[in-house]
Amino acid sequence: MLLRIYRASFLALLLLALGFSVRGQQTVRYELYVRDTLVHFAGKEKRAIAVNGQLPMPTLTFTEGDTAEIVVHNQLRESTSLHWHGVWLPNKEDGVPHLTQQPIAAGETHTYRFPIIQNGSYWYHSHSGLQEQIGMYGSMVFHKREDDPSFRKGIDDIPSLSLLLSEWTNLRPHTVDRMLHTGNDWFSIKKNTVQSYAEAIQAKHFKTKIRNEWKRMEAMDVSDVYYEKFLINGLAEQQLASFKAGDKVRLRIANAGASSYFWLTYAGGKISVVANDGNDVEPVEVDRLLIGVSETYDIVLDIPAQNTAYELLATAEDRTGSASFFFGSGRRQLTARLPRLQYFEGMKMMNDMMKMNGDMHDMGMQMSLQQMDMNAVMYPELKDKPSTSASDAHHAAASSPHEKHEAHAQHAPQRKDKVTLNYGMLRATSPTALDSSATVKNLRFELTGNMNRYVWSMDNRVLSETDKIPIKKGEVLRIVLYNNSMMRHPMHLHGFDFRVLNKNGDYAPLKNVLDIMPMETDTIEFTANRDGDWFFHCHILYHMMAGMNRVFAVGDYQNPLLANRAKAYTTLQKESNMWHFMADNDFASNGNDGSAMLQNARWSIGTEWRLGYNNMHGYEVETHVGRYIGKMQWLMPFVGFDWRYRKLGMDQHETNIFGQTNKKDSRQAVSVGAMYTLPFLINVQAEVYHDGIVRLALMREDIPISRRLRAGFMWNTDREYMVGLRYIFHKNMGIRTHYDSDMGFGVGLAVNY
Amino acid sequence: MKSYTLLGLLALSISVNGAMAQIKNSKLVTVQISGNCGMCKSTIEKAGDVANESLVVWNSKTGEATLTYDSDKTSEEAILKRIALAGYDNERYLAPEETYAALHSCCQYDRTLQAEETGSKPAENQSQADSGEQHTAHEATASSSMSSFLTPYLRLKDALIAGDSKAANEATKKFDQALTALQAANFSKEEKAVWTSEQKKLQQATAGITAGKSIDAQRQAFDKLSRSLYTVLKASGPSEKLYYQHCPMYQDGKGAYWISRDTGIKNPYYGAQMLSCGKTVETL
Repeated sequence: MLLRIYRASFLALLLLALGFSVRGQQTVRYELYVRDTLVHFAGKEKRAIAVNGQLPMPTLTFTEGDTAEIVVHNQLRESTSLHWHGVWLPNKEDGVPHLTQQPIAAGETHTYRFPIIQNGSYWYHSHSGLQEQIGMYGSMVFHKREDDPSFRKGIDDIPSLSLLLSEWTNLRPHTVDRMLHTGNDWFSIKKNTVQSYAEAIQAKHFKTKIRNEWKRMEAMDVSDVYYEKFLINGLAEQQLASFKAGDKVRLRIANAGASSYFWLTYAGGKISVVANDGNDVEPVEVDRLLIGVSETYDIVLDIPAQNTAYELLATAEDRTGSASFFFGSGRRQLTARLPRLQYFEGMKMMNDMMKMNGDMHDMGMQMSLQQMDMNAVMYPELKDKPSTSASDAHHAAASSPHEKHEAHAQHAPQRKDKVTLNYGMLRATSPTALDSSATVKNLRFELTGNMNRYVWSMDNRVLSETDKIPIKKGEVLRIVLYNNSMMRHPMHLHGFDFRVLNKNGDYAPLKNVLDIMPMETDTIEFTANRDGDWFFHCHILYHMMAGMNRVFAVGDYQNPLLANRAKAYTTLQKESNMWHFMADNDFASNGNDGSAMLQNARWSIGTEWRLGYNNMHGYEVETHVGRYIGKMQWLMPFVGFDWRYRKLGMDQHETNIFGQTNKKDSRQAVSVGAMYTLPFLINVQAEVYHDGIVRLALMREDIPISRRLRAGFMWNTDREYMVGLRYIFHKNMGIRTHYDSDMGFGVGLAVNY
Repeated sequence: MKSYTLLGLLALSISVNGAMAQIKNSKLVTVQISGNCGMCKSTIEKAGDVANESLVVWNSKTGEATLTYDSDKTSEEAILKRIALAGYDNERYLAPEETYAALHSCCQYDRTLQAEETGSKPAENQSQADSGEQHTAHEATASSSMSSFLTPYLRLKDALIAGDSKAANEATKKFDQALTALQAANFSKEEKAVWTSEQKKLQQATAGITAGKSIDAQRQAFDKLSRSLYTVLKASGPSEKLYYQHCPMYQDGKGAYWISRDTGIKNPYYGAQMLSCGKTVETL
């Protein structure tokens, strides 16, 4: 009898164990069909990519311990890939084409298979080209097991919802990329952020603008691209009416925007932040937070009253638009819109922070962890209320007693300081300290770049100029990042969570994306205990494509999916330093002025032409092949070839200011020279031809007079000059009028590509 | 409450208001919008009106508004959302708290459309200011020493942090009184030397604050005051631990100083915008 009981309990135990192991090894399979689609987000029908007919892609849900099996059917006419953002997995499942696998070719099927060994909120997206911009992003949730000791009552057991933030442009993403590289300022015209001289004078900031251009800076902005629409789960506005007063909801928010940061604000009270990048943090209550590109935050919201729907507002950092989500039913309680940025205030601040050589200067403030947001000088909502200023008080005293009373009434409510989340406030729920006996490899990266040519790099090297960084398996990698560029960068590490060193010591939070603002210095560290080639890059899509990437090669990983790793790496390098073509021509009444250029991060091959309508005016073509030097790329030495034909009258010769005479009407000349950008963004070009003739030229094309009006001039030592004005009415078109010393006065249509 | 008036009434409404004639596919709706004065009327109507698209006429006595709009171009919803964002509760939308709070005091209508919150609201976090209640005991003991003007100084600093120029003025007056009350006889030789050189500067700075027409002018004078006070405190040795703090950004990089009881930075020169800008340069 006893034996039987014994045996029965043994059987039960065995069954229990089996039950758990079955549960633990459950394979969860998703079939994803990637297909072209047409969408209608902003007035026009445009191409997008849908997965299983959805945009965003479907939310994938697993429980820690499951095995994920995700079958990707590529039904596009181009290759694709899927990267599992923030997920710990074998390197070959990481989804970076040419680094961890071959691209999934058109028509092919590829299966990703990996065990789920963590919990939290994650997301996934295409890592191929610019596909992420047009819909290839989706949420991923890894639930905690119910017996997980870190299970938190009131957080892990309340209703939860995945929200993906994204943005939409009616332009093709490749056009966006090209426009950024060619210095097209159409986006700032659309956003009304040109910061022209006329606007500067109006805002009483003429001196600020002069100083800004003296320091060779272009108009300042917090983001580069103009988007027509901002979306939460693919919609600009939606509502979930099932919540009642007293309910709580947990939101798993991922920023899937290609280049937009979002402010989150809530109409129903404080926002409780409970996790970040998939990792639990001690709950912290804030009034608002900025979610960087590709970051995830889990927040808990209260629904405070009956018959009211409370608005969660996601506002793009540049405040050109927002998306809303309402929780609850009834009257909709709105949250205040964030007012337009005060750009000239930002410009003034930037002037102080920028040295003449293009380096940033933090004035000894030791900035880090988003704790001091320099952009705040541009936030009107944080300005001192005018009613509390002395002049107003004075005014009130001078007017009627009634008004005086009002001034007092407005004065009464105490100013509440809004709490904005920063990385200093994040604290892990359990110790995260690394093994102190491991060897430490220290690395330092300076984030570099320049807006003028849209080149983004680390230590002034783009990916195509660097090898993989070898790391021994098991080493602790401690990385100091310093942002010496003018833009913020969300730096993302594949395959690992890193500790962000802050005041919380052993409880430093774990993250896989670090937003780093200009002039900030941050330290991150992690144990490199997974073999393979792991990408480390800026997650702003257009910065990544410009080359702001590195690869950590941990151990000696043999990837079965990549037969020739060296060759694949070369392809990856090429893809992050693409050539950009641009061309423009002014079809004017006195001739054609134009240029065509092919450029990458360092090289420029350009041709300029001036083609008259008769022999007297002449025909002239100059071709330069040059290389940009330095971080700011203000210097470009070049070799050139000129061809010219013109018919001057008998004995009419041109003499330059050096007394050199150029007798030939038909001239072919080879030259060497250099172009340099002077303060005020004036280009000076010095050139020596093979026949000894020297030419110096000064020029600038895009002086912003008003929002749409640009002035330009050119003068050279051949006593030629040109002044012109251009009115921009389309991203590719403008009306131009100019006076040219050779060809006289002209009016025309200036077209640019 | 709400009455949709059908096409039959359209002709009437068009004849009532000429501007409406420009609104095509026009639809007329009557809704309730909270508000209470003439100033509200202009704000509500301005927020609701869009040329050739929508026209709002609000009655301040009844709180009723007639919306006339082109149903092809816009909706009742869109108009009411704009009005709520301007600060006025209505049948569909409730105004943001901040926007309501920023309305002129005569426009601060009773928010009857808002639902009662069920849970008890957590008490507002009292900001821990230098001159707050916890320091009153200290105030009494220090009154006879050189640091008797420290309390009004710190109060002045807090007023500037809050961007409250009236409170700054009051604190400066207290500071001035403490300055005059100070008996030069109590000083040691070294203290006296410093005092004679700094007294005038301190008085000039306080005069600058009380005369300051704007909070910016007051802040500029406050920097002078702080630098001078630092010299005085340095000579006399303060009766407690104080921190000399610096903001390098102020006045286009000229920088500015202040004295605080806390190590934490609360910058008085920019208000909420740059609250955490700066660092402690010396512990006194």
